[in-house]
Amino acid sequence: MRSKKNGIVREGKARRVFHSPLCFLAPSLIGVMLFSCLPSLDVVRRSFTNAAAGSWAGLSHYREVFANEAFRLAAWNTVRFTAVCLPLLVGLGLFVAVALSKVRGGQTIRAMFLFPMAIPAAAIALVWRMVFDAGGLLNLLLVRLGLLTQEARPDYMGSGAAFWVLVFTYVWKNLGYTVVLWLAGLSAVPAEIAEAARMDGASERRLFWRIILPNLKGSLYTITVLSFLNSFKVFREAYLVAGSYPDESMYLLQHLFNNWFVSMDLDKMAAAAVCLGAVLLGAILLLQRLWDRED
Amino acid sequence: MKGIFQNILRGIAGLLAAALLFTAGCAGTEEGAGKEGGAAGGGVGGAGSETGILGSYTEQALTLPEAVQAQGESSFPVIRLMDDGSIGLLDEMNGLFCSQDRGQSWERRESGALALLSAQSYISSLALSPDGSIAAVYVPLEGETEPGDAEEGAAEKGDGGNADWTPQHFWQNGQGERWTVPYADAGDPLNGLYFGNDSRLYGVSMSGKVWALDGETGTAAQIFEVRGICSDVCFTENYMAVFSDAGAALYDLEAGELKTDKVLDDFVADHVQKDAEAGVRSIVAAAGEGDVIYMALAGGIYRHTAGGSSMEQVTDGSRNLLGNPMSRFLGMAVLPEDVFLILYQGPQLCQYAYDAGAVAVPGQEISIYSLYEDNTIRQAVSQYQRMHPELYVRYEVGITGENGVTPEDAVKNLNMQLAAGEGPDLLVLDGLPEASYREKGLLMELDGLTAGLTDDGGIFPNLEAAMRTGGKLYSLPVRFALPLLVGNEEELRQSADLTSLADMAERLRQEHPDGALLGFAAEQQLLEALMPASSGAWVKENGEIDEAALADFLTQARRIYQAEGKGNAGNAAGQASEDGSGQAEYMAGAAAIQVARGDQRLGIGRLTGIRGSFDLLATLLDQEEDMGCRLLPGQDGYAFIPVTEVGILAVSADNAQAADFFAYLFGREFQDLDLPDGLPVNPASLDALLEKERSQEETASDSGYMIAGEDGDGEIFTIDVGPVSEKQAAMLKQLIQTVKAAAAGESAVENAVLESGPAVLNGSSTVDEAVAEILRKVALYLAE
Repeated sequence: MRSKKNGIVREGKARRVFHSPLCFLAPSLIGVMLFSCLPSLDVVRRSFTNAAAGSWAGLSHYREVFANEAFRLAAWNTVRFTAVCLPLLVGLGLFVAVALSKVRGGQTIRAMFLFPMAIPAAAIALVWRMVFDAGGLLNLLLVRLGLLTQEARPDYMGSGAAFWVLVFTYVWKNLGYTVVLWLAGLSAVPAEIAEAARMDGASERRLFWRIILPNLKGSLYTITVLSFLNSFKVFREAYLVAGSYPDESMYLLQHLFNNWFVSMDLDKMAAAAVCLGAVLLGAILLLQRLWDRED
Repeated sequence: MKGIFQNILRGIAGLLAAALLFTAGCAGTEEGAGKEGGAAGGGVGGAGSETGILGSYTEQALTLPEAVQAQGESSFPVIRLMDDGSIGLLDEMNGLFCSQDRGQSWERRESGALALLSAQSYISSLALSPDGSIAAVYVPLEGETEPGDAEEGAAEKGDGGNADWTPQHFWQNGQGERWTVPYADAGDPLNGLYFGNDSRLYGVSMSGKVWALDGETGTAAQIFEVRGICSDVCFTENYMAVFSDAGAALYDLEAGELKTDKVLDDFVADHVQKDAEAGVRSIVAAAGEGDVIYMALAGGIYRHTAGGSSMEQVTDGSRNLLGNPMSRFLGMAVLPEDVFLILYQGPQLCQYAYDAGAVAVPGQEISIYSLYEDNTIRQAVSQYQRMHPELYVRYEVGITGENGVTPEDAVKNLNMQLAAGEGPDLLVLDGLPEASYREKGLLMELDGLTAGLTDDGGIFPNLEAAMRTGGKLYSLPVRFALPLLVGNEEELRQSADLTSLADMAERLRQEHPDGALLGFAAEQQLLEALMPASSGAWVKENGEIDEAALADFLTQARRIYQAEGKGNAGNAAGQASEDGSGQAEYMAGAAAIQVARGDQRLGIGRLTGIRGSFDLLATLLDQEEDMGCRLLPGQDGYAFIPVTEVGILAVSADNAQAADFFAYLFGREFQDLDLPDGLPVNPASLDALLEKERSQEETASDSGYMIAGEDGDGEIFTIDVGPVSEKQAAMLKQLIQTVKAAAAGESAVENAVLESGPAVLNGSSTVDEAVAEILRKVALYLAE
């Protein structure tokens, strides 16, 4: 009787143990299901139907999207932008973080790196317009320095240079938090290991490559994923600086989506969003797999 | 103990969960109710009106005295509640009328020397007191003397002499005795006179100083000062409220001091400013019982207690004449039981009384959306709403200017509604992606509806044909404008297209080396002026840019600009708009004045109406023998500019009310109105409007008007705009029949041309370079 009673008690506890996490998860789970998963599924559904009539369209929207020159250009620009910005930001952030970790009283400098994040996108756009316009501050400075003639002043936002302005904007805006993340990672590296390596005669360079960097793998994964996702947010600045139709070198997928929304090309937009979502998911899974393998 | 605490926590958690579920349930119910209402509104002939809430203010038009009514728009009577409880109506031409039966009938009363004053002077402000006293601010007509001397000096009328434009004052008490207004500051003359409830006279000067005027003692005392230009004054039991375009001021008549009323001041400042932006009107006010102030404005009638903290809306202006953008207030009176009388210019008197049986919230609804505020639609909504009190006509404007919404944001918001199937019934397509909506099947084909319009005058066949896409009609403009070229009639005959216009410009420059040709000082102005008749030719049917057409446009525009001569241009006929649209509008009448005065050889401008637009042009064409006008030639042939282009959403195809409103927009009743935004598309209405203008000479009640201006040398000139002659009316009809295309180019291409084109005109870029730049700019747009 006693054991049976105990058994019942154990079973009850187990059920309670099983239910407790669910109760905690439920609010966010329901929220994610309602506001993320269901809309995403609706987007997938819409990509196979005609927006106005709601009739089945098969793969026609996908064919239309891949045949669309603007989509191809925007996709290429987005890939190029990510390929340039991601290594640049991650590498530069690490470099600055390592340098800052060795500087006494680096707190003030760290705070300065975070300033760009506090500046509203609209204000940044205004400054960039003033700086990068053909008659802007950058050209004025270059003319004053004798590096440019008055007649040969380039319009940075109206030429291929617009892409590099966008890269600069992205790195400038996101460097601060990347540095902070790297610094957090660096502070988490056990000082004893580094001390032991130094005692064994390891040089600073060897210490960095063999001891510190391997210990920063977790941070690297987080920073890479966050930077990757943040690279899609640079659209705000691009849009505010150059509008819906910027120079083609800085025409990103978000520009295209925005313009398709305005012209109510919802079906094409849904198909392109599904493709983009698939690529993003694939890229994140790939990163995770690479990390898991190395672990 | 621990268990008890946990139980309490569980109890609280349970209560919170129940509260959450309850509130969620409430939200669900509310949403459900909203959907139900929406369905009823969208449906036709539903039981909405049966289930609607009852009790609301209704509008009723009252009859005015025949003599006053006959004065038409030129009459500006004032209204006042008299001591004996009757309603007093004072008209400068016809004197005082009183009604004992709330405006149903009127009897004429003695108004002394007012008629004589009116005959001999221009009255700018008229006031009536409850005891029948009359006061006026006037300027004697040339050669006239004081009204008091008028009887003796009648023979002097027309003798000429120097005109004295100094405002003078007239005051006659209830017994007909003449008093002198004790005010003589010619540097700051009185702008308006107002009687208090005790028949004391007050005056407001041009600079906003408020004076108490005592006729018996012959003294004037400044009591306070208001900001802005005074538009109306009303007197409550204890206060004098002065309304101006900058706000409202409250003066305590007992204490003799200003009283702060921020609620009233802010409300008036906000609403007067808003109305001024929309080009509408100011406020009229009247006192109720005690210190209650009632104000009538576009939004409705509002109630406020002097010094109180709230502002209550009594009636909604969107459902009656109050919200009509063409309404102009003249005065207001409050009768017992909160019955309001509002006098409009026209003149028209309306009564607003509470009707317990009237539907407060109509169950049926139709909705109209426009990206920008559209006065034509606002007017139509107001009039249609008055005709259909059982229906709620909801007019939604995407960009109100109050919430920082950009055009792109507004279009995206609309698209979300459309995608969710909750869009409006009718769309004003100006500024919206019409082609995209059409291609996606969102717009309904209108052929069935337009066929039904034939009995009511129909639509100009050539205009309708120009609006067709692939043989099908998805939208129609409620109004249209004509881009015109004005100049020497002989010379105009030689300009049949853009190239010959450029040839003519060069030839004129050779013949007349000095002076302005078209009067466009800036490159962009010229491009904007030439664009309507050409932009339609820049995009081929397959959606590609026609590079040759674009290059030709820029080439011809450059020739014209160079002929104009940089730095040699005269005054531009119009000014660039400041709304960010980049589109400048040049009025044909203004361009004709420039040509008639010899300031420039040619003029380009838009004809947007009869009164104030075509009548001026017609007058000048009649006066100037050599002057002529024709449609602006362009690459797209002769084009018209669609104004207020309306389409019906396919989802509302079965909505009979939406179809009825559409028919109303194009029917005689609405098209017969002479609106300033464009000419009517209904040929019968155009005939009626022209006939009305043409017959002014015979009716004399609403004769022509005079415009005055100052030329570049500071010389004042005047033009007496008379009735439209038969010859000019026929010319206009002929011009309208000639147009073949709608000026509806791709805005992205037009914007690119306006950005890159000026460089070609001023020689800093070649045509090929500009075309390449334009192609590059629109490549993404076209590729999408």
